[in-house]
Amino acid sequence: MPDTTTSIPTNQIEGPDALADLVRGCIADRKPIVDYGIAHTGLGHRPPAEHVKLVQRASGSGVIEHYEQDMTGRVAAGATIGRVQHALRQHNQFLPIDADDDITIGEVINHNVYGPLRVAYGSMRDLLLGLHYIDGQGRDIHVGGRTVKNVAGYDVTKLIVGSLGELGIIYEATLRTYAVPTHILAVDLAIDDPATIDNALADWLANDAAPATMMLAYQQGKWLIRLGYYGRPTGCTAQRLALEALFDNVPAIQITATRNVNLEDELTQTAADRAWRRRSPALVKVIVPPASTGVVCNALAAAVVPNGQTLRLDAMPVHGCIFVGGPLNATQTAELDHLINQTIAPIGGQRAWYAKPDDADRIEPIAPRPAAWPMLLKLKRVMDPSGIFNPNRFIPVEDAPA
Amino acid sequence: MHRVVGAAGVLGDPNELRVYESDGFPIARGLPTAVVFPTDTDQVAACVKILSAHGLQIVPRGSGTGLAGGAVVYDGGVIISTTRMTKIESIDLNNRVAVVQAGVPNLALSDALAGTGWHYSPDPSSQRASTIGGNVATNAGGINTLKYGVTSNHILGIELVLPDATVCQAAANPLHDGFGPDLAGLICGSEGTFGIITRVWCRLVPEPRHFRTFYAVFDSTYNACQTVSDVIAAGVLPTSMEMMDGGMIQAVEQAFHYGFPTTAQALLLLELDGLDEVLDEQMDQVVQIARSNGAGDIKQCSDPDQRAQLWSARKKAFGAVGRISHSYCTQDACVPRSKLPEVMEHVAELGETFGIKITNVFHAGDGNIHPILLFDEDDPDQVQRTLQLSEQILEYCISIGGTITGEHGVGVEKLHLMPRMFNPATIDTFQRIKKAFDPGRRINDAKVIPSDKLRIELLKPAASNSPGGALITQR
Repeated sequence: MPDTTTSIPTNQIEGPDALADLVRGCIADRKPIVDYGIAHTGLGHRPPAEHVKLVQRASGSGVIEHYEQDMTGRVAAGATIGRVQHALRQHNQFLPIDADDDITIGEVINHNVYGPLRVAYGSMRDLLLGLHYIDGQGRDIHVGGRTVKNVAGYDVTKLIVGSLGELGIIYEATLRTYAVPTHILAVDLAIDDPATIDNALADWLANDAAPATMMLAYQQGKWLIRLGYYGRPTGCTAQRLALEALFDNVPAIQITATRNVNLEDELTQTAADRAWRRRSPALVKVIVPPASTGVVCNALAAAVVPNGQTLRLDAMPVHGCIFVGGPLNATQTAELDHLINQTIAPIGGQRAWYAKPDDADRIEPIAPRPAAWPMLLKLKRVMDPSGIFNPNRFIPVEDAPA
Repeated sequence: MHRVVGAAGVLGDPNELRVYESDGFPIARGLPTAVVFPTDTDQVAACVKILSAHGLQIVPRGSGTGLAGGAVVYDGGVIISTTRMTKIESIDLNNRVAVVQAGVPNLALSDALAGTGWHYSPDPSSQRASTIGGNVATNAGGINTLKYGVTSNHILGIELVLPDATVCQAAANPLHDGFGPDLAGLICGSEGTFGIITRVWCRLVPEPRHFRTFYAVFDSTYNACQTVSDVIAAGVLPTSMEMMDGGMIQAVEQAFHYGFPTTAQALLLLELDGLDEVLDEQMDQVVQIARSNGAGDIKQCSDPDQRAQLWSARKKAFGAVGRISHSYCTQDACVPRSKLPEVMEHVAELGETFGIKITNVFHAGDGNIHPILLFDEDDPDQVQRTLQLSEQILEYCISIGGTITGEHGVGVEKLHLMPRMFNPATIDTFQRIKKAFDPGRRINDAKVIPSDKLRIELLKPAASNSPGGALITQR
């Protein structure tokens, strides 16, 4: 059994049987296995002092088999998004997930990572067709499959998406892929008040001006919306005209820039837009009903940080998802947390701290707990009876299986 | 029960109960001891409490349109029907969510949304009758799933009553995301084995406004299937890509007189939606692909009435089968789309080997095949050959990377095939998950996962004519 401090890259483990052996060994030694990923290390309470750290890695591109004609592919969990995209691009296809190039497929699944592309393509919950993972008894489990429709057995693939690595160690995934869009028109809008979007969004989405991607950002005291229109040049032009018509009489929303880009440029721009999050000492993700996104953004952007720094914020209004962060100390983090909780309580939101200062440990990582918490605990107990996977990550040790 | 739901809310007369002895899979039958009709979540919970206290099996049921025996009762169980839970509780267009009771018929929600520019996308052929709760329980598909996805892609939250009569709310709010495992995603498609779904948070999507609907005629099923595969590979994403073979074209034409060419061997029905400005370009691309695969007549249906009639004919296609055979068995499997041409050829060959005529109407764009096996129910030999042929088709689909069910579910019909799809550890995982929800095995037990309680003997001659059909209970 490896030392507490040893990190084990998965590409040094010889296949699923060896991974299962590792899990069984850890169960026998009562040593937790921690797989937090690289971009989500701050989410959750601290891991137990003694643990084996698993580092997802894949050999080569990590694409095990690309069913090009079917627009699907089998991918190693340790494959990085960058390598998978590069391999798919050779066949004019891509995986429509906004995630940094160094993040693995396993991490994307465990944390249900998504970005502006979700508007047009859905999230991992829509893209994932099948999963292979090692469960909490060290067994090799295969759920779902490679077909685009499948209702045989329970949909454990859906359960695992977003489970923060608490239910098993994913080692392979089968995913949908999409054709690279032939044309992308990127449009920037300046907006005086993000709350304007709350009232306009439903009409916008039902209009020809509905974009394929949408991101709201707060930078240096100003609000900006980045849109992407994907498709054929004639379609993108028509959508731009529809957008102009939609906001023609709305002085608070102004088109400030339009440019034709390719997918590579678009993904690079989106990555640059969100790069601040990984550098941010404090970062929180807030989920609210979509029509409240702008109001909540306003409330959070107005939060005063005493040392003169401004908070960074970006949001995906279509899905009511907001990221807020900045160089906060523990006290400021607690104040922001209080503000968030006060703001979202009346409208039924949720929030999770992805990063917070070391001495801000008393802040509950995820709140409020889901209403179905008792059932989630039961599922943790049946799928990970020894409580070996990522203790304290989502389910605190005191609630986890004995 | 009378105290909970009133006398009018309980059926106990054996003659009336006959209606509930099977669902859309009549081969398996069982007479319930009673059927109760609660009208809200509290009543469901009260019913579950009473029935559990008496140790009775509880079977949830929507409108009974399931095709795999998922709503069949055994061992004198009691059905809890959601058909009187028909309230659309709220429609919130700003947050794009509708909250409905489980018994709301699928089409009723879209009807309620008419004129708003929004709709609820899942559209199973049974949508006029089938309930949203039932659609969630089976993760129903439909014609538009190629572009818009199946039921689970459109569900934000689910409320269900657990066997201990507590109420579990899985993401029961208008949020379009959450933290932690996706419990609603797991419940969707669990075929009523976890609890009784009482309320659903449905995601609403903009109603498409521009369409191009057309059909292409082929002289072989192979070429039509190759067209499907080529369209997918070209990166075009139609709303739907449905196929009928020659036998089905004739049956539909006899029934609905749409004007389909009855000499054609295959017909591909396609619809594109989106921006009006690009639809012609997209249609040209698809037409070119179809022509390169030998398509003959290609007819566009631009008139909205004509379009509605065309889709109505497609959705009623199964009804037309009765005109060509008294008895038929509809199979449901899903295969990788690139393999459709060879799959359809192999299915036809198997039909010839077993001496059973097969006709096909299916969701070609999803690779979701529905071979319809035509047989004479009064001929035990034909019944047996039909059932053997069904199994061979499914075995073949598994062998090429497919699945035993794309949208109908496992129910009791495919219990015996589950071990061929999943390894023992995975089956055990399913059993453990079931146990987490239903430790006493009270709710729709012995469905979906093989168990020691129930088995189906599909190879029993004339199974549908014997008591209990092909359903065998084991104690």
